[in-house]
Amino acid sequence: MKPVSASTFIPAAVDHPQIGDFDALVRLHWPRVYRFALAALRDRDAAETVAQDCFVRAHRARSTFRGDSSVQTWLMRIAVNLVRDAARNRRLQFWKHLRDTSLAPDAVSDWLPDPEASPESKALLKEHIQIAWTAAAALSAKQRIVFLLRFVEDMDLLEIAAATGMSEGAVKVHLFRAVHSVRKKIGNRL
Amino acid sequence: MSEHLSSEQISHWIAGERDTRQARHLRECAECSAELGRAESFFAALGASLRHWGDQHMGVNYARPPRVRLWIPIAAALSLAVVFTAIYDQRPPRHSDDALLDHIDAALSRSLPESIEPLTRLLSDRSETREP
Repeated sequence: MKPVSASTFIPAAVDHPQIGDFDALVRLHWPRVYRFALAALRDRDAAETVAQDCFVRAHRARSTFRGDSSVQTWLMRIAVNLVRDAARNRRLQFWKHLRDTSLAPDAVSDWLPDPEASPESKALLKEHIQIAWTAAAALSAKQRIVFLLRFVEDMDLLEIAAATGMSEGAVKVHLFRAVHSVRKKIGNRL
Repeated sequence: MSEHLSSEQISHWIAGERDTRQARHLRECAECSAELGRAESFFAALGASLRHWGDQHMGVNYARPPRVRLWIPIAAALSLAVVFTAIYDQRPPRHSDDALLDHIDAALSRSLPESIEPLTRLLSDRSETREP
Protein backbone atom coordinates (compact mmCIF):
# COMPACT_ATOMS: atom_id res chain seq x y z
CA MET A 1 0.00 0.00 0.00
CA LYS A 2 1.34 3.37 -1.03
CA PRO A 3 2.02 5.90 1.75
CA VAL A 4 -0.47 8.73 1.83
CA SER A 5 1.03 12.22 1.84
CA ALA A 6 -0.52 15.17 3.61
CA SER A 7 -1.34 16.78 0.26
CA THR A 8 -3.62 13.85 -0.58
CA PHE A 9 -6.03 15.10 2.04
CA ILE A 10 -6.21 18.57 0.56
CA PRO A 11 -9.12 18.77 -1.86
CA ALA A 12 -8.28 20.15 -5.31
CA ALA A 13 -10.67 23.06 -4.85
CA VAL A 14 -8.79 24.46 -1.87
CA ASP A 15 -6.58 27.36 -2.89
CA HIS A 16 -2.92 27.47 -1.99
CA PRO A 17 -2.30 29.60 1.13
CA GLN A 18 -0.21 32.03 -0.98
CA ILE A 19 -3.33 32.87 -2.99
CA GLY A 20 -5.61 33.41 -0.03
CA ASP A 21 -8.20 36.12 -0.64
CA PHE A 22 -8.35 36.48 -4.43
CA ASP A 23 -9.70 40.05 -4.29
CA ALA A 24 -6.75 41.09 -2.18
CA LEU A 25 -4.42 39.32 -4.60
CA VAL A 26 -5.88 41.30 -7.52
CA ARG A 27 -5.53 44.58 -5.64
CA LEU A 28 -1.93 43.81 -4.78
CA HIS A 29 -0.70 42.56 -8.16
CA TRP A 30 -2.90 44.40 -10.67
CA PRO A 31 -0.62 47.48 -10.90
CA ARG A 32 2.43 45.43 -11.73
CA VAL A 33 0.72 43.25 -14.32
CA TYR A 34 -0.95 46.26 -15.93
CA ARG A 35 2.27 48.29 -15.96
CA PHE A 36 4.24 45.47 -17.55
CA ALA A 37 1.58 44.98 -20.24
CA LEU A 38 1.45 48.73 -20.86
CA ALA A 39 5.22 49.01 -21.25
CA ALA A 40 5.31 45.97 -23.54
CA LEU A 41 2.31 46.85 -25.76
CA ARG A 42 2.26 50.67 -25.36
CA ASP A 43 -1.51 50.72 -25.58
CA ARG A 44 -3.85 51.35 -22.62
CA ASP A 45 -6.77 49.25 -23.90
CA ALA A 46 -4.54 46.33 -24.80
CA ALA A 47 -2.81 46.53 -21.41
CA GLU A 48 -6.12 46.57 -19.57
CA THR A 49 -7.36 43.59 -21.58
CA VAL A 50 -4.18 41.67 -20.78
CA ALA A 51 -4.45 42.50 -17.07
CA GLN A 52 -8.10 41.43 -16.93
CA ASP A 53 -7.44 38.21 -18.83
CA CYS A 54 -4.47 37.50 -16.61
CA PHE A 55 -6.56 37.59 -13.43
CA VAL A 56 -9.47 35.71 -15.00
CA ARG A 57 -7.09 32.92 -16.03
CA ALA A 58 -5.38 32.97 -12.65
CA HIS A 59 -8.76 32.68 -10.93
CA ARG A 60 -9.74 29.72 -13.09
CA ALA A 61 -6.39 28.01 -12.54
CA ARG A 62 -5.93 28.93 -8.87
CA SER A 63 -6.53 25.37 -7.71
CA THR A 64 -3.56 24.23 -9.82
CA PHE A 65 -1.12 26.68 -8.22
CA ARG A 66 1.27 24.56 -6.19
CA GLY A 67 3.50 27.27 -4.77
CA ASP A 68 6.64 26.21 -6.65
CA SER A 69 7.16 29.84 -7.53
CA SER A 70 5.83 33.00 -5.92
CA VAL A 71 2.33 34.17 -6.81
CA GLN A 72 3.88 37.18 -8.47
CA THR A 73 6.05 35.05 -10.76
CA TRP A 74 3.06 32.83 -11.54
CA LEU A 75 0.96 35.87 -12.48
CA MET A 76 3.77 37.38 -14.52
CA ARG A 77 4.10 34.12 -16.44
CA ILE A 78 0.42 34.31 -17.39
CA ALA A 79 0.86 37.99 -18.29
CA VAL A 80 3.95 37.29 -20.42
CA ASN A 81 2.02 34.70 -22.45
CA LEU A 82 -0.89 37.08 -22.91
CA VAL A 83 1.42 39.90 -23.97
CA ARG A 84 3.03 37.60 -26.55
CA ASP A 85 -0.41 36.64 -27.88
CA ALA A 86 -1.56 40.26 -27.96
CA ALA A 87 1.56 41.38 -29.81
CA ARG A 88 0.93 38.69 -32.40
CA ASN A 89 -2.74 39.43 -32.73
CA ARG A 90 -3.34 41.26 -35.99
CA ARG A 91 -6.93 42.07 -35.12
CA LEU A 92 -5.65 44.11 -32.22
CA GLN A 93 -3.49 46.08 -34.63
CA PHE A 94 -6.60 46.79 -36.72
CA TRP A 95 -8.64 48.00 -33.76
CA LYS A 96 -5.70 50.01 -32.53
CA HIS A 97 -6.11 52.23 -35.57
CA LEU A 98 -9.71 52.99 -34.65
CA ARG A 99 -9.27 53.68 -30.96
CA ASP A 100 -6.78 56.28 -29.94
CA THR A 101 -5.45 54.60 -26.81
CA SER A 102 -1.84 54.35 -27.88
CA LEU A 103 0.54 56.38 -25.78
CA ALA A 104 2.61 59.42 -26.61
CA PRO A 105 6.24 58.32 -26.75
CA ASP A 106 7.66 61.46 -25.15
CA ALA A 107 5.71 60.98 -21.91
CA VAL A 108 8.05 58.27 -20.62
CA SER A 109 10.73 60.80 -19.79
CA ASP A 110 8.41 63.37 -18.20
CA TRP A 111 9.34 62.20 -14.72
CA LEU A 112 12.97 61.70 -13.72
CA PRO A 113 14.06 59.98 -10.53
CA ASP A 114 16.61 62.59 -9.39
CA PRO A 115 14.96 65.96 -8.75
CA GLU A 116 18.23 67.40 -7.41
CA ALA A 117 20.12 66.89 -10.69
CA SER A 118 21.27 69.91 -12.69
CA PRO A 119 19.11 71.02 -15.63
CA GLU A 120 21.84 69.83 -18.03
CA SER A 121 21.94 66.36 -16.45
CA LYS A 122 18.16 66.16 -16.52
CA ALA A 123 18.03 67.18 -20.17
CA LEU A 124 20.67 64.59 -21.05
CA LEU A 125 18.94 61.83 -19.08
CA LYS A 126 15.62 62.73 -20.67
CA GLU A 127 17.18 62.48 -24.11
CA HIS A 128 18.77 59.10 -23.28
CA ILE A 129 15.47 57.74 -21.93
CA GLN A 130 13.74 58.79 -25.14
CA ILE A 131 16.38 57.04 -27.23
CA ALA A 132 16.20 53.90 -25.06
CA TRP A 133 12.39 53.84 -25.26
CA THR A 134 12.51 54.11 -29.05
CA ALA A 135 15.25 51.48 -29.22
CA ALA A 136 13.22 49.12 -27.01
CA ALA A 137 10.38 49.21 -29.53
CA ALA A 138 12.70 47.80 -32.17
CA LEU A 139 13.80 44.84 -30.02
CA SER A 140 12.46 41.36 -30.66
CA ALA A 141 9.48 40.34 -28.51
CA LYS A 142 11.62 38.10 -26.30
CA GLN A 143 14.32 40.73 -25.84
CA ARG A 144 11.76 43.41 -25.01
CA ILE A 145 9.93 41.25 -22.48
CA VAL A 146 13.16 40.24 -20.73
CA PHE A 147 14.41 43.85 -20.79
CA LEU A 148 11.18 45.19 -19.22
CA LEU A 149 11.00 42.46 -16.59
CA ARG A 150 14.61 43.15 -15.59
CA PHE A 151 14.66 46.94 -15.51
CA VAL A 152 11.03 48.02 -15.08
CA GLU A 153 9.77 45.20 -12.86
CA ASP A 154 13.15 44.77 -11.21
CA MET A 155 13.03 40.97 -11.40
CA ASP A 156 16.21 38.91 -11.09
CA LEU A 157 17.35 36.46 -13.75
CA LEU A 158 15.83 33.38 -12.11
CA GLU A 159 12.46 35.10 -11.67
CA ILE A 160 12.56 36.18 -15.33
CA ALA A 161 13.44 32.62 -16.35
CA ALA A 162 10.46 31.30 -14.38
CA ALA A 163 8.11 33.96 -15.77
CA THR A 164 9.15 33.50 -19.40
CA GLY A 165 9.75 29.76 -19.40
CA MET A 166 13.32 30.28 -20.64
CA SER A 167 16.51 28.93 -19.14
CA GLU A 168 18.63 31.34 -17.14
CA GLY A 169 21.24 31.21 -19.91
CA ALA A 170 18.66 32.14 -22.54
CA VAL A 171 17.50 35.05 -20.38
CA LYS A 172 21.09 36.32 -20.16
CA VAL A 173 21.52 36.09 -23.94
CA HIS A 174 18.30 38.01 -24.66
CA LEU A 175 19.05 40.55 -21.97
CA PHE A 176 22.58 41.09 -23.29
CA ARG A 177 21.26 41.69 -26.81
CA ALA A 178 18.67 44.12 -25.52
CA VAL A 179 21.08 46.02 -23.28
CA HIS A 180 23.78 46.22 -25.92
CA SER A 181 21.34 47.32 -28.59
CA VAL A 182 19.99 50.12 -26.38
CA ARG A 183 23.49 51.21 -25.36
CA LYS A 184 24.61 51.30 -28.99
CA LYS A 185 21.66 53.54 -29.87
CA ILE A 186 22.60 55.94 -27.13
CA GLY A 187 26.16 55.81 -28.45
CA ASN A 188 29.38 56.39 -26.60
CA ARG A 189 27.65 58.86 -24.29
CA LEU A 190 26.70 55.91 -22.05
CA MET B 1 43.64 41.67 -17.24
CA SER B 2 45.17 44.98 -18.16
CA GLU B 3 43.02 46.04 -21.12
CA HIS B 4 39.85 47.98 -20.50
CA LEU B 5 36.55 46.18 -20.73
CA SER B 6 34.92 46.45 -24.13
CA SER B 7 31.44 47.88 -24.56
CA GLU B 8 30.17 44.34 -25.17
CA GLN B 9 31.76 43.05 -21.96
CA ILE B 10 30.08 45.83 -20.01
CA SER B 11 26.73 44.92 -21.60
CA HIS B 12 27.34 41.27 -20.69
CA TRP B 13 28.08 42.33 -17.12
CA ILE B 14 24.85 44.30 -16.91
CA ALA B 15 22.97 41.31 -18.33
CA GLY B 16 24.34 39.12 -15.54
CA GLU B 17 27.15 37.36 -17.41
CA ARG B 18 30.11 37.94 -15.10
CA ASP B 19 33.47 36.35 -14.41
CA THR B 20 36.13 36.78 -11.76
CA ARG B 21 38.70 38.36 -14.11
CA GLN B 22 36.27 41.10 -15.08
CA ALA B 23 35.31 41.57 -11.45
CA ARG B 24 38.98 42.04 -10.52
CA HIS B 25 39.53 44.48 -13.38
CA LEU B 26 36.51 46.53 -12.36
CA ARG B 27 37.86 46.78 -8.81
CA GLU B 28 41.21 48.03 -10.12
CA CYS B 29 40.21 50.21 -13.10
CA ALA B 30 38.50 53.46 -12.20
CA GLU B 31 37.66 54.20 -15.85
CA CYS B 32 35.83 50.92 -16.51
CA SER B 33 34.21 51.07 -13.10
CA ALA B 34 32.91 54.58 -13.87
CA GLU B 35 31.61 53.49 -17.28
CA LEU B 36 29.78 50.54 -15.75
CA GLY B 37 28.42 52.79 -12.98
CA ARG B 38 27.04 55.27 -15.54
CA ALA B 39 25.37 52.50 -17.53
CA GLU B 40 23.86 50.84 -14.45
CA SER B 41 22.61 54.19 -13.14
CA PHE B 42 21.03 54.90 -16.49
CA PHE B 43 19.13 51.60 -16.61
CA ALA B 44 17.99 52.13 -13.03
CA ALA B 45 16.73 55.62 -13.94
CA LEU B 46 15.04 54.28 -17.06
CA GLY B 47 13.24 51.66 -14.97
CA ALA B 48 12.14 54.24 -12.40
CA SER B 49 10.82 56.58 -15.11
CA LEU B 50 8.90 53.78 -16.80
CA ARG B 51 7.41 52.61 -13.50
CA HIS B 52 6.25 56.13 -12.74
CA TRP B 53 4.88 56.55 -16.27
CA GLY B 54 3.02 53.23 -16.05
CA ASP B 55 1.53 54.05 -12.66
CA GLN B 56 0.36 57.43 -13.94
CA HIS B 57 -1.37 55.87 -16.93
CA MET B 58 -3.08 53.38 -14.70
CA GLY B 59 -4.66 56.28 -12.80
CA VAL B 60 -5.68 58.02 -16.00
CA ASN B 61 -7.11 54.81 -17.40
CA TYR B 62 -9.50 54.32 -14.53
CA ALA B 63 -10.46 57.97 -14.24
CA ARG B 64 -11.52 58.38 -17.86
CA PRO B 65 -12.90 56.07 -20.51
CA PRO B 66 -10.66 55.55 -23.52
CA ARG B 67 -10.90 58.28 -26.13
CA VAL B 68 -12.60 57.33 -29.33
CA ARG B 69 -11.66 59.25 -32.43
CA LEU B 70 -14.63 61.54 -32.90
CA TRP B 71 -14.29 61.88 -36.63
CA ILE B 72 -15.29 58.25 -37.14
CA PRO B 73 -18.90 58.42 -35.80
CA ILE B 74 -19.35 61.96 -37.16
CA ALA B 75 -18.23 60.93 -40.66
CA ALA B 76 -20.47 57.85 -40.51
CA ALA B 77 -23.50 59.94 -39.46
CA LEU B 78 -22.87 62.54 -42.20
CA SER B 79 -22.48 59.83 -44.84
CA LEU B 80 -25.77 58.24 -43.83
CA ALA B 81 -27.49 61.64 -43.85
CA VAL B 82 -26.23 62.38 -47.38
CA VAL B 83 -27.33 58.96 -48.66
CA PHE B 84 -30.81 59.26 -47.13
CA THR B 85 -31.22 62.81 -48.47
CA ALA B 86 -30.25 61.67 -51.98
CA ILE B 87 -32.70 58.76 -51.87
CA TYR B 88 -35.50 60.96 -50.55
CA ASP B 89 -34.95 63.61 -53.27
CA GLN B 90 -35.20 61.04 -56.04
CA ARG B 91 -38.69 59.92 -54.98
CA PRO B 92 -41.56 61.70 -56.88
CA PRO B 93 -43.79 63.95 -54.75
CA ARG B 94 -46.66 61.93 -53.28
CA HIS B 95 -49.37 64.50 -54.16
CA SER B 96 -48.50 64.99 -57.89
CA ASP B 97 -51.13 62.47 -59.15
CA ASP B 98 -53.91 64.04 -57.06
CA ALA B 99 -52.99 67.50 -58.25
CA LEU B 100 -53.07 66.41 -61.87
CA LEU B 101 -56.50 64.81 -61.46
CA ASP B 102 -57.83 67.96 -59.72
CA HIS B 103 -56.52 70.06 -62.59
CA ILE B 104 -58.26 67.80 -65.17
CA ASP B 105 -61.51 67.86 -63.20
CA ALA B 106 -61.41 71.64 -63.06
CA ALA B 107 -60.82 71.86 -66.81
CA LEU B 108 -63.68 69.50 -67.60
CA SER B 109 -66.14 71.24 -65.31
CA ARG B 110 -65.52 74.61 -66.91
CA SER B 111 -68.42 75.81 -69.08
CA LEU B 112 -66.15 78.15 -71.01
CA PRO B 113 -62.53 77.88 -72.07
CA GLU B 114 -60.03 79.23 -69.57
CA SER B 115 -58.98 82.10 -71.86
CA ILE B 116 -62.52 83.56 -71.88
CA GLU B 117 -63.01 83.48 -68.14
CA PRO B 118 -61.76 87.10 -67.58
CA LEU B 119 -64.51 88.36 -69.94
CA THR B 120 -67.23 86.52 -68.06
CA ARG B 121 -65.92 88.05 -64.82
CA LEU B 122 -66.16 91.51 -66.43
CA LEU B 123 -69.75 90.85 -67.46
CA SER B 124 -70.72 89.63 -64.06
CA ASP B 125 -69.07 92.73 -62.46
CA ARG B 126 -71.19 94.96 -64.65
CA SER B 127 -74.32 93.08 -63.82
CA GLU B 128 -73.61 93.43 -60.11
CA THR B 129 -73.16 97.27 -60.38
CA ARG B 130 -76.31 97.71 -62.45
CA GLU B 131 -79.12 99.17 -60.44
CA PRO B 132 -82.24 97.08 -60.30
